[in-house]
Amino acid sequence: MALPATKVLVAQKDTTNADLTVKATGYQWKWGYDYISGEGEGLAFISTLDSSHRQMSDSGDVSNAPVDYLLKVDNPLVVPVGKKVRVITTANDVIHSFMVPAFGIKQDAIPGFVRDTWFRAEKVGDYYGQCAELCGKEHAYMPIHVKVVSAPEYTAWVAEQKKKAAARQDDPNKVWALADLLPRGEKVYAANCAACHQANGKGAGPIKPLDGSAIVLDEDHTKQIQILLHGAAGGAMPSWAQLSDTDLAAVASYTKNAWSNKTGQVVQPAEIVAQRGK
Amino acid sequence: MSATTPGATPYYYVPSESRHPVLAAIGLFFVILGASQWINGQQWGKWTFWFGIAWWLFVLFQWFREAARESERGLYGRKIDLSYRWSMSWFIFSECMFFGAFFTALWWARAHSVPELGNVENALIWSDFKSVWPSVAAGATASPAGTVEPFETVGPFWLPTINTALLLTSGVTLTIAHHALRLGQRARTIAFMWITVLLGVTFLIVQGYEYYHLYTELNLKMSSGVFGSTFFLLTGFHGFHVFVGMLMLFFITLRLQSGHFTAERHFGFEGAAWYWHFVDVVWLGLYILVYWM
Amino acid sequence: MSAVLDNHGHGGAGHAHGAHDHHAAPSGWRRWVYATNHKDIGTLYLLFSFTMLMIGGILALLIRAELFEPGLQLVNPELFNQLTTMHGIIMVFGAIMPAFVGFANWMLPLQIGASDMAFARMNNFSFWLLVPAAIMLVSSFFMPGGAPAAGWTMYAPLTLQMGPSMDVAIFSLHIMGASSIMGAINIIVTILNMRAPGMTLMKMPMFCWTWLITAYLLIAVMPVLAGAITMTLTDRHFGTSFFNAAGGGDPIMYQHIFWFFGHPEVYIMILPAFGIVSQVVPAFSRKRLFGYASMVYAVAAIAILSFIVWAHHMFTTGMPVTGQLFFMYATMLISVPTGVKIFNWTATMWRGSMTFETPMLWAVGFIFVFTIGGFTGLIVAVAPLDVQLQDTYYVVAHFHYVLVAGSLFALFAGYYYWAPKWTGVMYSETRGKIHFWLSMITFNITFFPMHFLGLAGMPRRYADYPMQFTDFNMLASVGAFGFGLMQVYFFLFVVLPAMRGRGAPAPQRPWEGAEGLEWEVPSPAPFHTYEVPPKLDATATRVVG
Ligand code: HEA
Ligand code: HEA
Ligand code: CUA
Ligand SMILES: [Cu+2]
Repeated sequence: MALPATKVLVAQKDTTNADLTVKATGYQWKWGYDYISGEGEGLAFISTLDSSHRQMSDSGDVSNAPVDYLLKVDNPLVVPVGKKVRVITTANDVIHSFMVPAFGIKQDAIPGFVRDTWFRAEKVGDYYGQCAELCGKEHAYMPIHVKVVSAPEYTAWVAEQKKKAAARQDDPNKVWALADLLPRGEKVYAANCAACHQANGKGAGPIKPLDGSAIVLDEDHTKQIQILLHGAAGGAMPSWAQLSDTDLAAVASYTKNAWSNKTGQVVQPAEIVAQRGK
Repeated sequence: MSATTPGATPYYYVPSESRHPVLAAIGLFFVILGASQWINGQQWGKWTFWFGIAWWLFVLFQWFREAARESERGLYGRKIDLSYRWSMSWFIFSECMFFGAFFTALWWARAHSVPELGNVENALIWSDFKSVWPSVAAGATASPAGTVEPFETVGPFWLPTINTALLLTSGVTLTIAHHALRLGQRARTIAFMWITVLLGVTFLIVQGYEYYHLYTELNLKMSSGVFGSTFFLLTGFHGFHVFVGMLMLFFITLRLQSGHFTAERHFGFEGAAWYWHFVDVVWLGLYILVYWM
Repeated sequence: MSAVLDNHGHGGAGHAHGAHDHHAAPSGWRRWVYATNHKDIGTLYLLFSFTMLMIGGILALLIRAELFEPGLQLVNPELFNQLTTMHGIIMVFGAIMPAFVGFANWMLPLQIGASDMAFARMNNFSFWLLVPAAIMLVSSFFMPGGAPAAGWTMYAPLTLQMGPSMDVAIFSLHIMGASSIMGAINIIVTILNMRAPGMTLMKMPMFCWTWLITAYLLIAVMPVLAGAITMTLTDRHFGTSFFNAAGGGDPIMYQHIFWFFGHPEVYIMILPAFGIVSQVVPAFSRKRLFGYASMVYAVAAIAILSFIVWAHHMFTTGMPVTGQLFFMYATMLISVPTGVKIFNWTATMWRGSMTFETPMLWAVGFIFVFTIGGFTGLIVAVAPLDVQLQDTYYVVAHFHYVLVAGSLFALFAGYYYWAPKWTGVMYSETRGKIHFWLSMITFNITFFPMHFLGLAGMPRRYADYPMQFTDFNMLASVGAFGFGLMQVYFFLFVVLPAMRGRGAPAPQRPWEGAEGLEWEVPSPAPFHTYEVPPKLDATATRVVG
């Protein structure tokens, strides 16, 4: 019994000679993927549970739940079929664990340290996994979706992503009008903030409401920006420094104008840049 | 069983009901209630904590006084003596395991976490960090995130070495006191006990001075990264044990002065002495692993 | 247990009588609150742990109710994590451990012919420390931010994010740890120093042996837990960075220290159970225990090995392959001494004239179901498999098979076996059998499906789950309510009548095949027993003078 186990184990730990290396970073509560080397190097995005699934979970009514309930994400991890993929795991706040049962992998993601594992998908298709280390209240809501595609499809996907990324590279010095920033802010809010602060901005339990919050309404933007960048409440409100300056400016502007917060204030990306260093 | 005729040592003395245990537990209830609130910034927690400590100490004082009286009344036979010996040995074993946890933390930080944080793989996260031990210099070598202020460490000279000498000497004076007690020379025993207690107090004063020096001049604090963490928790818990051991010796000395213990039977004395030697040995470990290496 | 309550002092067993006359017997509330009598303190422990079993069980039922189907119907995810965490902590530290200490208090002095525990007052102190700790723990649900929600393993750095209740839990565990250490010292000293003349170590009943070794484990590892959570405390409040990579520390270090405690801890919860089963099986097989000496060595071997397997809980943290191999082999080794025990029990039953009264049913049930739990333990010990199963419901299934069907079932076996001695009345055999069979069935309905959930990849500590896990979860939830109901039945229809003294009076020796000094005193056991050390026969199972 010990012998075959030893063989498998040694093979399992051998992460050398990978065709593609991806870094998976656990955040409370989403996964960040960075393509470190191999085809697609330089791509980076964040993968979050579809917010409608999260709302459905809260409602307690799952009679209309789709088959991929709690597994659907906005940006799946895309990898080519038949290639050895090395996954480097790390985390930003607490320990998470990157698990995809179909590939037989599970590797804890430890804040401040890197670990790795590998897999080679043999068939094209959608593979799902979930975070497997208790990481706080939304632990059940940080799924992993690995989309395995053929080599040409992968190349096409990489090209498309590169284009999109270039478009997203907004100039942080651009001065925005409130009306242009709000729709973007709403999206960022839905993807990142609504899980805790709720779509209506009212928070819940220990989660602070944003609707009517003094910090949000303040003419002085620095306090809110600092909280966005560094987190608050001992990490219960995590740091969002990984979002782009424009996204942060957009979401701050959105909270200042959504619900009953009709302040008319605009937060510009430049203000975020200025606060980042502090 | 409490009705044993005075003077006759029972086969095994089983005390009748006692209010001490439950009262001591209530004291500790206030201690943990207060402590948990105090460290979260509730002022009432502070008072609750100290109230609990005072209550608890008061109960312990009564409890131990009762036990001492029972002992002096001759209720504790040879069997009980042996029970006390066993229990003290096991208690000291548990203390060793407690210190073991912190020594392990020190070893882990030195041998695993700090080197690992500085290796090639982790350059992905901490690109500038160079691992050295002790992790002192500013910025990239004191801590991976550069959050730890620069600090200096202390070598073995001179305060820690003086302290080592103090503790070793106290071990000797304690042994002299023990011999004297066995020879029935009570005055000499008491004199050497006082010297031992004083050596303990001096150790604590020196240690306190060293802490002061570290905080104000070397900028070595609890928050000085993992070095400061292990340094202060190890030396701090040791210091606390010295304090407790010193109290034990102090009360034993008072008991000696009021005529307790005989040349043949004095486990209270020996138990405290064992504890003191244990504290000594831990210090030697600290002296070598923390200050020298 | 009130049959004992009104029965002080004078058991019939003349030899067990002190020379001096009887003195004011304690009565009223003082008898319990100021208790120094091992039997009374044992009763207190048992009542306390049953209360905690109920509280922990209610939390478990809330978990199961929430997991009945996907979606959040009852609790929010935050509260869910609090329920899981507190369920684990309360069951481990509040229910199972104190229950075994209660058994130790009642039975050890009786079994070795001692007048009481070595340190009667410290004994009571150990007990009363549990009460403030339990009050603090349970009330943390009502604190701002709610109860701790970082799992019973309290992994850093998640613990560093918790609210003030985390500190409450830490201090409570400190106190419970102190209680366990004192209790363990008391037990060791009692066994080493208070045996009646003629009761040599190798003639001691197995229950004493298992507790001697368990107590050693407790003294060795509770301080280590104290160290780990103290580091958590200073990381939380005093700026240290033991578990913070930014300051040079390491979250994995917490896990190493915790599991150095944690793994021996699980054996602390099973060794006394082995002890109980080793008493019950020979009694109802009407044979002496097969391979007594090998049993003793097996327990010792389990205890020693338990110190070098801890990292099998950490196979997915990314340790070097050599580390994984070492811990995998070491863990597999443990099944050898455990197998020796299972084999010896079976051999004891072999060709015995067996009868199946309730204690025996529980003991045999234990052997079956615990073995399943042991085998799943072996599966997760295989590192490459564990990589798939770690932190899934497979592990939850494993440890409930060893903890509920192991520790808890053995406790029931022990209760039915010894309660006649404690209370002086026999339980109803029909009720005992109902309790056993329905518990056994509902237990398996609850926890067997969890194996499948785990194999399918359902992670543990999840408040909500994808659709494909629904069916097995429903089954498990239904089973859990049934199992809970059976424990209410046990309390109302077995324990309560016994406490009120209802039932046929128990003879001094209710089981014809049972051996040991506890059967040499009347039922219910008198308030004081063996005040003068009894004279024993050569086997040290009979009092001769
Ligand atoms: C009473 C408690 C108890 C007991 C007795 C055990 C017994 C064992 N446990 Fe278990 N375990 C727990 C309580 C317990 N465990 C808990 C609480 C956890 C989870 C903690 C958490 O994460 O919250 C856990 C988790 C756990 C893990 C980590 C899983 C994970 O998180 O990924 C592992 C891995 O190796 C493991 C292994 C074992 C083994 C090999 C045994 C062995 O001792 C079993 C030995 C018994 C047998 C093998 C059966 C009988 C033997 C025979 C019939 C002989 C013939 C057989 C052979 C020779 C193979 N246990
Ligand atoms: C030590 C012993 C122990 C015991 C006895 C139990 C008993 C039970 N446990 Fe367990 N459990 C643990 C130790 C234990 N547990 C540990 C250590 C964990 C890990 C925690 C963590 O992840 O941190 C855990 C985790 C755990 C989980 C996983 C939670 C998660 O991952 O999110 C589940 C889920 O089903 C569960 C269920 C149960 C059930 C149904 C029982 C039942 O056997 C309980 C039966 C008892 C009762 C139900 C009480 C009696 C009834 C009443 C008081 C009246 C009300 C009842 C009715 C009206 C029906 N437990
Ligand atoms: Cu991330 Cu659990
Ligand atoms: Cu284990």
